[in-house]
Amino acid sequence: MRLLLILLSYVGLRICLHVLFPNLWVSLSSFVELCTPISSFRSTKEGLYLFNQLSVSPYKGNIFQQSPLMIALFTIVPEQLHFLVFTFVDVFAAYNLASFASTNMSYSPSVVAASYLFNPFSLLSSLANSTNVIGNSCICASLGFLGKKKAAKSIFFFSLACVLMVYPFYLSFNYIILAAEWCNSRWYSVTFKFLFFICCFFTLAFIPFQSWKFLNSQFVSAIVMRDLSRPNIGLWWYFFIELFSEFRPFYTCVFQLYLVSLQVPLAIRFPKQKLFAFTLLVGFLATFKPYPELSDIGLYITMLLLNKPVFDLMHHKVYEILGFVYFAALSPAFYYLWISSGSGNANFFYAINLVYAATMIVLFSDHTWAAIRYEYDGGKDKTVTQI
Amino acid sequence: MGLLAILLAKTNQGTFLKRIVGKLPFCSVLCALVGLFLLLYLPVDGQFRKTYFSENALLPHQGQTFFRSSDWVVVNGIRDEIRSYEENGMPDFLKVGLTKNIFEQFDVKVYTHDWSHADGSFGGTNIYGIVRATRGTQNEAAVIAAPWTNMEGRFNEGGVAVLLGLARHFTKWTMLHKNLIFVIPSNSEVALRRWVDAYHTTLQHTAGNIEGAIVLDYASSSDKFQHIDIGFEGLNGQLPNLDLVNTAGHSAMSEFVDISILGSHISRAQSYSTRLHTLFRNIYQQAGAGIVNDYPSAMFSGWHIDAITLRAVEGNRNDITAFGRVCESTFRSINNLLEHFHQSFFFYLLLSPVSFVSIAQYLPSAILVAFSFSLMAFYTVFTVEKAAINSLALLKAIFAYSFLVLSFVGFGYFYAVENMELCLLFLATLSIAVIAIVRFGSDAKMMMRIVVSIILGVLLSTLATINFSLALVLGILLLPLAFVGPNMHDKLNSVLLMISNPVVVTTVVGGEAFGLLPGEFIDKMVEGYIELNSWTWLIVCAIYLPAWTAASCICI
Repeated sequence: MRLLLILLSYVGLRICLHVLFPNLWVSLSSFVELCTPISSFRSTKEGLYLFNQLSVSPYKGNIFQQSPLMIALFTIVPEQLHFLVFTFVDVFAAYNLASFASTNMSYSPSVVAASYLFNPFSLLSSLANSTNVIGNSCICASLGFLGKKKAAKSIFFFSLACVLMVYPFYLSFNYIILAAEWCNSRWYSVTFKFLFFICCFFTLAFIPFQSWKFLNSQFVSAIVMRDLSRPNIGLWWYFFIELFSEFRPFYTCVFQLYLVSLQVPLAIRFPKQKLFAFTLLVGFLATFKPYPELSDIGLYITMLLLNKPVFDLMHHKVYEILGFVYFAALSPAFYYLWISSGSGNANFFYAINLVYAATMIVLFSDHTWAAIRYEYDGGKDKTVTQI
Repeated sequence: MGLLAILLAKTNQGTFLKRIVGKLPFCSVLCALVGLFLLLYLPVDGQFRKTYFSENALLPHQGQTFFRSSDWVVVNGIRDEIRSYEENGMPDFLKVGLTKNIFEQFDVKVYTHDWSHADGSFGGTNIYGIVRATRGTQNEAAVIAAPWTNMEGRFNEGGVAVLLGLARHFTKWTMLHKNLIFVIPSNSEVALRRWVDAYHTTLQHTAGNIEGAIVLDYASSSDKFQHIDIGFEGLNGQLPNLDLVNTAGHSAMSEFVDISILGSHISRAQSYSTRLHTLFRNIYQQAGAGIVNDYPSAMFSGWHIDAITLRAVEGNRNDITAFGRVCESTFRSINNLLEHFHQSFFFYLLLSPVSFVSIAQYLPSAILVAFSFSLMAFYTVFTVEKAAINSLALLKAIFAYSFLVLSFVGFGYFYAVENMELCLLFLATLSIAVIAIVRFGSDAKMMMRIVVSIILGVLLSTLATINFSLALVLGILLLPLAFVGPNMHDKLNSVLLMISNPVVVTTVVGGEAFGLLPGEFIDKMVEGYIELNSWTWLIVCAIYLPAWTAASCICI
């Protein structure tokens, strides 16, 4: 009942905001914290225009770097209802997280749903119509169906997330062992289904334009960070705008290596806490991928609540929240000083990105500590300071 | 990490932490005092640096200046001419037409720009002439402007005459790399602001990016002036690149003209007290930008333009052509630039024309004042009984405070744009928020106190990076609120709330600093927001008013 109330109030809020300020998303999507070139709804609109009005492939040039499925989705849905798509995927995600929460040692479903819908990070990104929200919703849905032990549906949504957003591929290893455990199936059957769905979605993505160009435009540019037209809250852009182009392949490899370095070690160290490993990786990728944005952090923070015992054992929450508060205030201020007033420079903004990354790292270590602490004795002994 | 944790556990058991927590209010006061003391310490020898040129391309005053005796005749003639316009009480359109004629006589392409106030009423006509560069790519420009009336509302006859003289002078000059725009706005504030906005949006005849701007202010009928005063503060905390200020100062000194900064003391006589005075002039101008006494160069803010005002101070020491030569020399340095000003400092306080402190030295004082709020938040967190800290109360407080801020911002915005229905609506939501906070339980009030202190700490330190002086002034005015709370002594609460009361503050600040009545003071702030796009009014609405309201509500 309470869950329904939360979902309905969210829908009401979105509709009210849309009626009162129909162009709110345009102003919000100019915040680099909320949208990146690969998730901006403006570029989706650009792609839609190229495809529907000019009948040109949206992958000509470098404007559109999202999945062909996005074009398909937003072509089918009439333009006036586009905002409802974002509302719907959010509600869908919140519902699924809530249903996962009810099957797990977690905070109550309504708290989890409210945290996903109303925490400022995901709310603002969703109001900015970041298409990343759609992919995140698929990840939430895959979790939700895991909770209901429906392996096929869960894998369906997870592979959809991979095809839409690229970076969930980096989660697939931990997802497969998580899904195998939750649904009591063999890892190879999960892998097989996963690969099957991936193939299906690729074929589906091939159909609209009859070409594989999207692999280059969507996947390769997301991996090598081709579009540097806007900075973001990550750590990549600063390096890549400074580098000579000869060094780019090398540093791309190094940075990507970092992104794939944690999956297996986490799986080995935490065989009993696969959900923790998965959650930590969601946050880790959200911080260190080339185009990070705040909607991913909203997802990570909500997923922390899915594991109540571990969350309760985290003991630096105040500092992490303060870190986020300072980041949220200073990041737009320094972006303004750099871009709008011209008094600052890129270092200002990057300094705040470092503050953000540092806050995230504190959060990760706190999270990991809590998981180890939980594994040790369930957090019973309050005097333990070192394990 | 393990060792640290053991150490922390040890201190937790003992009274050590408690003793520190008990000292936190004292630390907080100390923090603010140290912040203010740092400011007083800045003008001490050894704390500031001598100004220098970072940009090699500027080559300040490296060439012979030519604006001399033959131009004196021209300037004098023009001055007599425009003085006759003013003395005959000529209507504006005639004055504009005749001034256009003067430009045309010098073969300068001249255009007009009709501007209107924010409410749509007609304001006046600006005149601007463009001298095209004989070399270069035609996509960069520099501006020399002289408003008809200066910042005090006096007739700027010398400024306009020198501007016209320079226009004649530069048409014959063959080394222009940048287009040169001569602007005569009808006044020094709104008219110029509208012209700058229109130049970047609607004007038909433009001459490329404006790289630098010099505004001339010579409001006397005399041929002689004492020294040049340089004004540079922009709106919303913006400053021009220090290189530009230095260039003007260097050019003036090379012409043996004394200079002063923001109406303070001239460069030759320097001591601790003059530097301190100049420092406070910096803070006064920056914090009060957009309210009154703005140097006209502030009107260029917001468009990536570095602008300064050269103001002739009445006296008997230099000739009017020296004023023109300083302007000529400064312009020629801008003309030498190969790329936009970027080398030197954009954040500085000038202590004298030749000495400055950079942001790393002065920023700590505003941050320390902001930090005293954070310390009081920690104090409250540690002293409240553990049972009172519950997340529901915290969420309530956060929600109520955001609601309060939104209501105040909405109220302030719609009050400024004179949309009275919506203004009243926000006033209604405001009172709902106030009633809600007053009726909070004691735990929620405690949480409210923490939220207010933390938010003030965050917002003031953020504001300090954009507009140092405003953050400092607001921080000092709000400081009493850090020590207000439901668990404090009632008498102390009422005294502290009284001295930070908006009515008292507008009366004292408006009266003492600007010589305005409280009503006028608010009107000026609103006008600054509407006409000049200075954010002071909105910042007051978003930071000061909600904080005071919330603090007083939790004490009831």
